[in-house]
Amino acid sequence: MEDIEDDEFVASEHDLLVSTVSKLDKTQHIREPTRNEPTNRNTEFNLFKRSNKLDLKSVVKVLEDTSHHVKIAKKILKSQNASTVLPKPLEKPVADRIKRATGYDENKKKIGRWDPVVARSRTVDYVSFPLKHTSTKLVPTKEFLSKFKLKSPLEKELDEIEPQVIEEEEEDNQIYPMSYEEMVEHRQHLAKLRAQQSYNAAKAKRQSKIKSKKYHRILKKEKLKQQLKEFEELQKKDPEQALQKLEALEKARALERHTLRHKSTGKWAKNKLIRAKYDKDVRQQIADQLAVSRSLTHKVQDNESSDDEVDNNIVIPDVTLSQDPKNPWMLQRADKSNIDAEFDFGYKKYLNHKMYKRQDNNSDSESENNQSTEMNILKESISRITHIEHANDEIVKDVVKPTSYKTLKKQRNKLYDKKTSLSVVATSSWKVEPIVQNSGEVNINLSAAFDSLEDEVAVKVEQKLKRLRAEFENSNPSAKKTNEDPQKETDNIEYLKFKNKKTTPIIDEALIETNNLSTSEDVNVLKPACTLLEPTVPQNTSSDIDPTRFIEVKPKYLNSAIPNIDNENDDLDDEQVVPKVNIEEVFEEDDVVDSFRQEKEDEINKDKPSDIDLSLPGWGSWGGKGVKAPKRKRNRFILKAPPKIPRRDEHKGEIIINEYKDPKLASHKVTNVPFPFASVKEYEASIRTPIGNTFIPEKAHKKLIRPSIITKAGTIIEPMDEEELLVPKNRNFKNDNVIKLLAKK
Amino acid sequence: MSNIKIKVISRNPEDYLRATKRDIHKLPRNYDPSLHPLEAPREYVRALNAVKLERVFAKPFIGNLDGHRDGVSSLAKHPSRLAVLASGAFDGEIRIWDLAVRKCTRNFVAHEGWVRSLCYTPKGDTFTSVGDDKTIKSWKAEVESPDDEEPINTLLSMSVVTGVTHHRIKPIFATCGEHCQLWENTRNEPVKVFKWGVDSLHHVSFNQVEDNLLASCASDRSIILYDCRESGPLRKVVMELRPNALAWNPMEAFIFTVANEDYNLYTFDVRKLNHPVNIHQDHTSAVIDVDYAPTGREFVSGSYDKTVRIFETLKGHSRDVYHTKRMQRLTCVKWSLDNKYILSGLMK
Repeated sequence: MEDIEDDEFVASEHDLLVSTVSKLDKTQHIREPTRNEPTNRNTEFNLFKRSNKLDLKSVVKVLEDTSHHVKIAKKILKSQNASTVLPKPLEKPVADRIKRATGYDENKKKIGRWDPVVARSRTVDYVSFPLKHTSTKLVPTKEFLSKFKLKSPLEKELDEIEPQVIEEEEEDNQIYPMSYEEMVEHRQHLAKLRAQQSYNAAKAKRQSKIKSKKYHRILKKEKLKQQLKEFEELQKKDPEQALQKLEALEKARALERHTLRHKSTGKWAKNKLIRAKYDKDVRQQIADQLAVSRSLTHKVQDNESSDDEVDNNIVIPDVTLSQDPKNPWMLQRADKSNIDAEFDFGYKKYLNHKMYKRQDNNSDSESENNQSTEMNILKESISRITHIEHANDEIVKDVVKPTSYKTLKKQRNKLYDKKTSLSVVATSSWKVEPIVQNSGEVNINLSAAFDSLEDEVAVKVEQKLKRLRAEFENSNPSAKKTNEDPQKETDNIEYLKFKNKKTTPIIDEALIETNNLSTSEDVNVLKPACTLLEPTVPQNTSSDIDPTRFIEVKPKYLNSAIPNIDNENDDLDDEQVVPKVNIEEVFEEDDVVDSFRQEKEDEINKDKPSDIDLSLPGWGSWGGKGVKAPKRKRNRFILKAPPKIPRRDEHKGEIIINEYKDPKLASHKVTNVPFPFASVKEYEASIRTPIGNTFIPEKAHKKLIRPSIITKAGTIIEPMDEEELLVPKNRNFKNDNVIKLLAKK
Repeated sequence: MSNIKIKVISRNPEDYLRATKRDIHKLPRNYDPSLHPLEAPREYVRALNAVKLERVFAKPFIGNLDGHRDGVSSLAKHPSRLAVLASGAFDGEIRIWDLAVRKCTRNFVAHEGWVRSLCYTPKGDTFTSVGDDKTIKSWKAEVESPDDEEPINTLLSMSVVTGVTHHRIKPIFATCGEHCQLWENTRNEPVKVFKWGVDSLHHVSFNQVEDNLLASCASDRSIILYDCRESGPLRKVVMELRPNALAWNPMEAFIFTVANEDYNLYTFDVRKLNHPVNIHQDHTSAVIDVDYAPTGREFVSGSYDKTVRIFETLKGHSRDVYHTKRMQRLTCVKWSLDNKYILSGLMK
């Protein structure tokens, strides 16, 4: 006992000594915790640095006596140096993300094995639950009986003394949840998962380290290209989905337009703006940014402007806006030359301001400016006008009438008016950059151009008239003209495709409208004019339509066995063979005939259009009970119904012909063939087959009315088991179309 | 004696005599379609009458189980006995019912505050309940001795636990609250804790087919998918409004349906979480709970609009709507395991 006490005493003394010595050392060490509790979480506070680590260098120092020892020392030091430093692990969120991604992919792949089972159970005629069936096969009698044993009294006694223990062995086997092979497999699987994770982590790390702008630019471009490619493929494969995607893109764009991103109001932009004063590159950056925002905020298509173009096909050049140096939003491109204009600070701004003020004061300089721009615009428009006039010439050539020349002149006058109006537009602008040009020359040019054109046209018309007159005398007019027509027509069409909207007033004669297809002679005579007119009409309308805004509609023709309703109506026109039975006698009690008549009358009344009264009683005159509206008002505000069109069944007796489709009926009709059926015929046949046991044998009836889900009363339906994957009927189910359909969903 | 020949109709008795007494009487029929010119109209009328009569005689309400003094907060089906149902109330009481005789067989106060969730173990010998008092208690399903009245095991959690679900095969169960936690029956600390985000979770459910998957609904409007093995959280879907409950299809491993606050239910495919496979509309208020039929073809949903609706999995609108005069707001719905009955718990 004493020894032990002594030892303890010595030990404590020693500890004290060690602690005092260690206190001499100034550095504080975190000590190893004296008490540990088993937890599944290790905090960083429990980690410590071991200070009493063996220092290799000091050990090596000792080994300096012999050459052999020196060698060993070197080796030891080398081994120490060779140790590579482990790379820093990825940041926690990134690592977690990778872990989740790999885990999800793994599970996604694994869960896909249920596809055939699900697809089969969804498409099969009927499923009976519960899925697990105990085999109902009868066991042969001998086998069944062999399980039972008759025991002799001796055996029974023996059993009592020594009860048999067989079950325990079985239990022993079942203790382990996994066999050795399973364990190995499980470990391998885990290793694979971890490897995948680490690979992904390494990749992410590597990619995140790349700072090269070029790389990122290329990456971005590649992504964009990929997306475009995918979109194009989608367009080919599934236009509907492509349209949806396009819509989504449009929405994203709209959202971005809605936000203030890429504008000069953000924090980044503001900071840059401060620096932009001194740095040209920064200016460039901001200009880029603004360009992005402009491209985003730019309207996709100007529909209103297209409406304007119909009226006058001359586009008003956007002089004032496009060349405004003060407006950063209206720059054509983020060129370097424009950047300076965009950012004018301090004295520059002041100077500019002054310049404008002076411009306002000097009316002369302004007018000069205006003139020059006017000339510029005129030049542009002249070229366009000459184009139009060429087109007009063609018309003049074809339409052989003296009046046409006059109309042409009028037209030109109109065009001239337009020109002047255009110049007015230009004068109203004041932010116009000076363009140096000789105005006089242009004036001369213009007048000369007009004169020459007029001459030309006059000569051409005269020539044409002469030729035609000659032809007219030579041959029978009507016959020849009609022969010539088709070719001319084609010519016309070609020219009329250009901007030519003023052809309608050329013809003063009224058109003859007939429903008959047979053409009389006088119609034939008029034909050239008609042919001239015809192509223009659809053109006018087509110019109104935005080509991007129509839905392609595929006509659907169902190959139905049901006869067309139209044909039925035609048949009714013929004399009907009705057996001569007095219907009134048959239905003496029920007044079927009367009710039918009533029905028909209702039908007739339903379709009858009635007058619409738009007058407001009391508006502009006294109103109230007994006050009649004045006649003028009645005439003006009561819209007369169009004249009654005779019904098809008017004189047909006791039939009702529905001339119009009932829109309410459409909702009850089947638009497309439901899933398992391939053709309309099949589907119709399936609908027509009787299912009642009055019309078909009992067995067929039972089969047809069998429910798609059969359950047993009072039995629990267990969720699907993995064994279901091994069932041959599920494994053999390889209807790829159905599986694909399922996957698509 | 003269031979007089008398002509008689002779038939094969097999045509008109039935083999045994239990058989139905044989009726000779001529199935020639030309003899039945009005076959189509007759069938039409019959079908119409059948549909009408089905509606006329439809009386879905069978009865109510009376006994709880407060609203029912949760229900649990026994996995192997159809007649047994456990229900937890807002006053912390749990009642076990015998559905066949519609009587309560056992009642006891299990928690302080309300019983958040209940679930049976797959064998059906015990069940677990979680409550507002941060405890997870396991109880014996059958009481044989007075000791069985006490909980077998009480686990203390650090935070409020709001949901519990049991693995189909393994003896582990998951709870949700602040985080999703995985517990083993024999341990006092959770085996695993899945953390993702800071928002609390209010519902958790194990996949019954692919039994390592589980999903939970978070209060930040998201649904989180977990793998209970190594991977932990897998993916998150953020909805427009809060998902209230979630049910996995017991026959289709990758399909689950979410009851949402925006009056709709959303069916998702695990592999394509970007878009729901189907959106089930019809409720006129927030959908509180959803449960699949054991056949996986239909599911039932309970809503704050005091109705129970039955939806077909592949269709967007409900097949049926159940509502009675005395009904209150739904808190939970269950579809019985024989695909026959629907059980619903109401507030009071």
